[in-house]
Formats: sequence, C-alpha cells, structure tokens
Amino acid sequence: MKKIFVKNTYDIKLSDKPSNQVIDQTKITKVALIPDNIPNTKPRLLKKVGEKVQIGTPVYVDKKNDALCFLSPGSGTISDIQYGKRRKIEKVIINLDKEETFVEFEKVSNEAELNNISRDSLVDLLVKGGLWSLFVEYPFGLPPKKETVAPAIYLSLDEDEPHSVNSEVILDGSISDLKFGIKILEKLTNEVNVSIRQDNPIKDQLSSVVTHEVYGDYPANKPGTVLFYDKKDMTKNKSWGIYAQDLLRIVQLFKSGRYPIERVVTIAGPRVRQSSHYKIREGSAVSEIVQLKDSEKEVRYIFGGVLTGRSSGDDGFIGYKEYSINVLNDDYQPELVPFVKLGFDKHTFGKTYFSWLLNKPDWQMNTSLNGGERSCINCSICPNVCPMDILPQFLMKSVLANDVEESMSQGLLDCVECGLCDYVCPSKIELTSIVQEKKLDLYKEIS
Amino acid sequence: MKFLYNFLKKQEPLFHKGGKLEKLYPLFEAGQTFCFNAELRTKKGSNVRDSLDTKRYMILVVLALLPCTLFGIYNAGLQAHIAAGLSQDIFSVLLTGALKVVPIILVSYTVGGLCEVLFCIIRKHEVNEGFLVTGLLFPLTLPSTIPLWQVAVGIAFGVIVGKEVFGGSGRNFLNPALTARAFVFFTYPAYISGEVWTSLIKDKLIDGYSGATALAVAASGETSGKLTDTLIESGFTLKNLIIGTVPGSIGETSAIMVMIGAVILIATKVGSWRTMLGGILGAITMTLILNLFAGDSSLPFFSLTPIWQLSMGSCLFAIVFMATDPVSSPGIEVSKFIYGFLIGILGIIIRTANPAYPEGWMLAILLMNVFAPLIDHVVMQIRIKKRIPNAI
Ligand code: SF4
Repeated sequence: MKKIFVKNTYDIKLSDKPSNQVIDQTKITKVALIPDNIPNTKPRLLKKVGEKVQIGTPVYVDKKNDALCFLSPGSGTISDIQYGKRRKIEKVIINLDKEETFVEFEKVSNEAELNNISRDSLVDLLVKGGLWSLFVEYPFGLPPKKETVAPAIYLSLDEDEPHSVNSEVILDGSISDLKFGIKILEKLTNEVNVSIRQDNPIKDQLSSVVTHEVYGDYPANKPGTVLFYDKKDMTKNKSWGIYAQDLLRIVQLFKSGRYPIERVVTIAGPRVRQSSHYKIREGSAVSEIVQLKDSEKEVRYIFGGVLTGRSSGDDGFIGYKEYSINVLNDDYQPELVPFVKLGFDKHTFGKTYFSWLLNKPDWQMNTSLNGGERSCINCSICPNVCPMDILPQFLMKSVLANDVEESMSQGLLDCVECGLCDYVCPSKIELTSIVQEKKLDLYKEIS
Repeated sequence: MKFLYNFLKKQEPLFHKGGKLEKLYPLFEAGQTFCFNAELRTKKGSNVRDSLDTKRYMILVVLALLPCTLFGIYNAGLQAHIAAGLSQDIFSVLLTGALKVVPIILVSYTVGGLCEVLFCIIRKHEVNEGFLVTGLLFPLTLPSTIPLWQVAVGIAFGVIVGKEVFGGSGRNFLNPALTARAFVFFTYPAYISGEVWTSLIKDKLIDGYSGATALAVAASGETSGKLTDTLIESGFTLKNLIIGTVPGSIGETSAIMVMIGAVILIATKVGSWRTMLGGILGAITMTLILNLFAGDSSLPFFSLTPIWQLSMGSCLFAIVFMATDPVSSPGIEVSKFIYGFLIGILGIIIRTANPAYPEGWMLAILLMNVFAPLIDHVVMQIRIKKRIPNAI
C-alpha cells in the first residue's frame, strides 16, 4: 500500500454533518434529467413531451460524444421540457406511473460471466446502460470517448468534500459488490488504483484491494489529486477517475440487468429537519425529498458539495451524478461594521479574526460572499490551499491574459477544481471558474 | 441598526441607473458596505466564502500602524517641547503633538480619499480599501514640520500616479504611500531633507539645540573619534533610538512600536514574515560587510554596528510596513524573502554611501517594487521545471 501525503488540504468545518442513519425517501411522483449536471453536454433529445418512457429508456445523447447516453430514471410520461438561455435544455421532467416498468439489459452477475465477455461488449453494456458518463477522463475531468483506453483508472473510496456520502454507509454490506466492481474496472484497463483515506474505519476490511492510503483533508482523495501525487511521468496524464458510489451503480446494472435508480445520498444543512443519509431515487425533486424545519427564509439547494456543487432554488432536481444536497441560508442579515469586530463567530482560513483561538468544531455557513469583489491584492493566501502546487493568483492572471502556453506550464490542466481558492480569496475572485472555463475552451478546441 | 439599514436602503434607488445621483453610486456603495456587511451572494464557484475580505485585511494593517501613530503624536509634541525648553508633562506634550500630527493625517485621508472617490466615479468601480492604509502610512513617513499643502499634493500624487493610473489597488506596481513620499522628497527637498525635523513652537529655540536627526548627524561626517560617541553626545543613545524619543519622521522613530506592529502583522498573517526577516537579514549582512571596510580613511558611517543601523531612521518601519505591502511585493514565498533581503542590502548601501539621501529605504523599496515581478518570474521558472508537464 502506497502512502500519499497531500499538502495544502483544508477542511472548512461545515456544520450540520449528516448522521450515518439511512432514511427512506423513495416515494415520489416525478423525476427529472438535468443535462447541466455533466459539464459540456449538448443534449440531442430522443423523446418529445407527451411520450411514454420506461426506466432505462434513452432520453437524450450528447451531440459530440454519443457514448454519453442518458436514460430515464423513471417510468411514465414526459410532461415538460424546460429551456434556459439560448434554448439550452435545462430539465426534462417525467411524471411517474403508478406501476413502473423497466428496460431489461444483459446481465453480468458474477466473475465467470465477466471473464467470458469481451472488453468491447463490456464497454457497450456501460454505454447502453447509461453509466459510461460516470467516468471522468483527466486532465479535463469530462467523460471519455468510447474508443479510448485509460492508462490507469483511479477509484476513490471516499469523496471527501464536506458532507459527501460516507463510505462506511454506502459500503455497508456492499464490499463484495465493490470488489466485483474493481474486477470490472480491471477489464477496462491495465492498472486500477484504489485509494482510501488513512483514517477510514473500514480500511482493514479492504486491505486486499486498496493500493493507496491518502493523508490529508479535502480534496486529498479526489481521484485527480491521487493521480497527481502518484504519477511519475506524463504517461498517466490521461487516466480516468471514478468514486465508489459510482462503481456500485455499475455493479447494480450488471447484476440486475436494470438501470439502477436508487442510491444513498446525504441531505444536510442548518434548516434541514434531519441532516442524514437518505435513500432516494435519481432525479428526485427537492420539494419531494427535502424537509425543512421552517420555510420562513430563503434557502439555496446545492447538489454536490458546497465548494463545487451546482445550485438551484426550490424547483431543483438532483442530477445523474450528484450524491448530496446541501441546503444553505440564502437571505441577507445586516450586520454593523463586521470588519472591525474581534470576530469570534467568523469562519476563516487564516488568523485575521479571533475565531482561530476557539478551535470550534464546525461553522454554520451561508451563501454570502462575505465581502465585495476587488482586484487581486496579491495577498498570497490562495497558494496555501492548492494541493496541486499551483499558484492560483499567477495562473488566474495568465489565463486572463490569454497566455495558454504559460497557463499550461503553470499547471492549468492539473487543477482538480476543488474550489478552495475561491473560498479563501479576500478579493472574492472566482479563481476556480476562471480556470474551469479556460480548460473547457481548450477541450472544445482540441475535440 | 435595522433603522439605519432601512434608511440606507430607501436612499439606494437615487443612486441606481436613472436615479438623480446615479454618478455617485461608488460613494454610496462605499458608505453602505462600510457600515454593513456586503449583501452580495455567491454566484459561480464555491457557494461558501471565507469571512475575510479586503476591508478586514486593510483594517488590520491600520491597527498595526496605530502604536506607531500614537507614539508619533507623543514624540512630535515631546521634541517640540524639548526644543522650546517647555515642560515635558505628558498631557501638554500630547496636546502639542496632536495639534501637529492630527491635521497632517486628516489632510492625507481627506485629499487622498477625494482623489480615490473621483477616480471610482469616473471609472465606475468600487472604492478600494487599500486607501485606508496608504492614507495613514504616508503621513507617518513625514516630519511633523511639513506644511499641510505639501501633504495634500503628495498624497494626491501618490494616489493618482502611484495607483490610479494603473487601474487602482491591485494593478499598481509601486507602493502608493512611498510614491507620495518620494514625490514630496524630490520636489520640496528643503523641507524634508532629513536635517531639522522638529516642530518648533513660535520660534522659541533654546540655545545649542540643533534638531538634527540621527542620520543627519551620522552622515555629516564631522566627527573626531568614534561615530557612536558623537551620536550619544547629540542625544542619540541606543536606548533613545529604540524607544523612539528622538527627532525624526512622525511614525518611524520608535523601534519598539514598529515591533508591536510587526507582531500584529505576523500574528494575523497579513504581513509576510519572510519579507521582514529577509529585510533585516539583508540590512545586517550589508552592515557587517561595511564594517569590514571601516577604517580611518572611510566614512565614519561604515563603522556603525547592525543594532545602530537597524534602530536609526526609518529602517525598521520601512521593512515592516512598506516592504510588506502585498500589492507591490512579489507573490511567491521564496521571492518574498529574496525581495526583502535585497531591500535590506540596498537600503543600507544608499543610506551609507550617499549622504544626500539619508533615507535610503524609500528608494530601495521603490526600486525593488519595480523588480518584484522579475524575481517572481525567475522563481516561477524554477518551479515550473519541477512539474510533470500536462500537455494535450
Ligand atoms: S487569494 Fe485572491 S487576492 Fe489573494 S493572491 Fe489569491 S487571488 Fe489574489
């Protein structure tokens, strides 16, 4: 087992950590597909409003990469397709039938069957089964093309962004499934790396499959981070990444022959009635699965972690590849001259408020920018939270100056888009988005 | 509080597009965000943000400058009373000092603030908090004898040429306070050449009082025997220099007060300890080198030991408060140290070798401001070599 020490990681200590209890919340009346959930997808619709779909019927494919086929997570009638700016498809809403039916796929339920099928038919199964898009290919962090073979796959057993699903909960009783999943990955590539947090209590049960033990807070166990610290030369640059919860869905598809619609997610936040793990269905509406203590103030729903997640109002739906819903207060509370206070109640990375003296276990956070937008004052705080050894302020400046060569040599493509530099910046610069957009531009240019 | 907030909110439409006072929006914005926390919500990127903003950042520098400011007021009064042979009772001394110093600070803030707001209105951007620091830093580098109109011209020059022509805080490469200081120094050398820096009260001057600063004494070269003896004879004992009860610029005389400021900057991580350490090591190294060459034929200044060099004049003040200005410093940790070190070396060289510029620090830092991007560039190239390239 190789030890990986990731530097410059940071735990923002978000309050209302979800408990390990799993609450069933699968009784719902509608589901939706959200193309935006996978960046850069340009959907080509295969179904129209009013048409019937089953669980597993393809609803849209990506115009550029037809391996990215998205299946209906419910059986019923397409009731609405909502468009955003420039006729971009935002939501495809499906009203569920009482009795739901499934599209049946080929089963691969054990290792013997797995050994009998070819790599190509395995890939086909993943594409047809709608789960190919769970992989990301580095350096761009987007789903790979069908034809590519990864030099290595990095499987992370625990997503470590605050309030992500706890691997103890999702792997409870599923360890053999996980091991089967690793076999599937081994069929796709020659090298499968499995990383686990050093303090994970189930580490010992998995010692036969784990290859990397990771030290550090968020984002130490992002597959991209492990790849960065693991690689010795350029050969592994285009490796793939995947999380345990994704892999379990692939195993479910193979074993049951049906598109898996249920999964465990976390729902957490200061106003959520019970911050905990929930068993929900893919594409559920927040209005049907999230219960708040009160509805007095406005909230923001964030799908994924608070640092990287996609946000929406109360008409949002959880997407294809999202495993947590964080609910934060979104209203404004006036506070007189906060910047001259001692600030025992202010969360901060550095030592500019006295809160560091208290060593509080967690902080209730909201969506406030906590300041005004300014130009970079070169305070050099951001490099302290960059695990990829990038100097975000320099990278940002060379990206904005459109100097692609310089940006790349500074590590543009190594960025795992963790969002920590956004969090710490006193000038409130959206460093991550600036880098993200540049990466996407580059991707479009070469593909 | 709610009341004040609601009142402000009611006025807001006046300043919005189409409102009567639309042009003054930056002023309104500055006022509102000064009184209350920002209303802005996160849009892209991380949904949660650190409580630290540029206001907090800059106000901490102001806090670190306060000990120097308060002591400066006391000392300005004290020197004036000594010169006039008046009583050194603390209250009357403070009163005299306040009457001298507070107007200088007020003029600096008002005139500088006006320039800042004017540019914000023309350029339609928010008022930058960096000004809170510049507006105080500049007066502290001035002698308390300076005419107020020079303060006004100086700060206006510093804000406009040192900062706004480059596009405001964050885009400038020179330290605006130092730009202002350098401008005053070169335009009106008669007033602040580093000779007589004590405020005089109604021309009452006791016999034999010169009011010269330690540097003027040291640079004059009119010494027979050891320079330190001459300094001590003129009242510049090491103890006085460290406490700061000597003639000099308002905020720079007291090594102790500067150190308190340094502790605040380092403890809050607002000022870079690397730059400070580099600066002090640089100054010590250069002084020791000069000591090697000290002899009968050399300038007497060469023979001063590091502790004297550090506690005289604006050496520490410049290293702690001027060199650490993040905007005009390099951004990489290693470069910060190198930058500080070079400032230390240059500052001592200029101060010693060219008695016409007894305050070498100002020039040393401005010069290194210009080279800061170069240091970063070199260090960056070394860093880049260590990366595994991620080409496409
Ligand atoms: S944290 Fe923000 S202001 Fe500070 S150096 Fe980085 S980008 Fe610039």
